[in-house]
Amino acid sequence: MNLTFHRGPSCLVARMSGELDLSSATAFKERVDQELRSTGIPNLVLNLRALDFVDSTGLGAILGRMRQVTAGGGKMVLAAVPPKVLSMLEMAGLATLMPVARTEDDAFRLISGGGPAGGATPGSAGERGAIAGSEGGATE
Amino acid sequence: MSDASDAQNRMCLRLSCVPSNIAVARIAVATFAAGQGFTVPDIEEIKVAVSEAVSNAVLYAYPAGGGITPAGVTISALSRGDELVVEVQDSGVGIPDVKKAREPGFTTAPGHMGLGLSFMESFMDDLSLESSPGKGTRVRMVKRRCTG
Repeated sequence: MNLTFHRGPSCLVARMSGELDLSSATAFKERVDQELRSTGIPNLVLNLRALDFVDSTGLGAILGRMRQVTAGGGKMVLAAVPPKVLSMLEMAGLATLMPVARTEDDAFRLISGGGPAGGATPGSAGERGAIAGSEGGATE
Repeated sequence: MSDASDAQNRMCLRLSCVPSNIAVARIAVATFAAGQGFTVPDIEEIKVAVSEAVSNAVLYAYPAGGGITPAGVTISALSRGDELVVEVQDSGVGIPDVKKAREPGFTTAPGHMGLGLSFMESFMDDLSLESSPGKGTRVRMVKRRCTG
C-alpha cells in the first residue's frame, strides 16, 4: 500500500494505491492520523482510484478514519472509488455512512458544502444488498 | 491443449500465520483460479474470500497466551470440473461458537468489522466452517465457474 498526501481546498487529500488488508491497515491508520494531526486540517478526501484490493479489514480501517475525522469536527469524502471497492462498501453497509464523490474536485465541493455537483453517489445498497446495518459492527 | 473444464488440478501452500502471508495466499489462489478458466470478476471475489479466511487465521488462531504453539495455516485449492474448492485450515484454538461467529458484525478483535465470513459467503457459492476448540478451524469454500 502506498499513500501520498496533498493539500486541497480546506482539506487533506490522501491518495492510496496498492492493497489494503491486515498487513497494511495499521500503517494506513497511523500515517493518515499522523498527517491529520501534524497539518491540523480537519477534513479528509481519500482518493481510492489506484486501490487494487481491499478486504473487510481494509474497509474497517477506512471507516475508522472517517470516525476519527468526524470526531474532530471534520468531514471525510471518498473520491474516485473503483467499482469493485464501491460494491464492497455497499455490501458492508458503509456506502450509507460515507459520502462518495466521482472525482477529487467533486469531493472538494462536498467538503465545502456545495453539494455533489453530479459527482456523489447516494448511499444506497447495491444489488447484493448490505451485509451489515449502518453501525457496521466496527468498534474502532 | 487440454480443456480446463476436464482437468483436475490441485495446489497446497503451508504458510506461517503472519499478516504478510495473506497476500501470498490470495495471489497464489487467484493465479491457480486463472489457470482454471475463471473470469477476472470471479477471481477478484475469490481473492477477497481467501484474504478473509487467512486473515481470520492470522487474527484468531494462535492468540498470545492461548496455550497453542503457532503451527501455521494451510491453503489448498482443487479444481474439479467447473468447481474450485478452496480450504483454509489452521491448528489453532478453534471457535467456541461457530453459529455466533457466522453472524454478520460479530468479532472479538477490536477495530475489526466482523464481516469476514459474510464476505466469504457472499463471494463464494458454498461455504462450510468446521472448528474444534483446541484443535483448529477449517473453512471450505466452493466457487463454480460459469460455463455459459
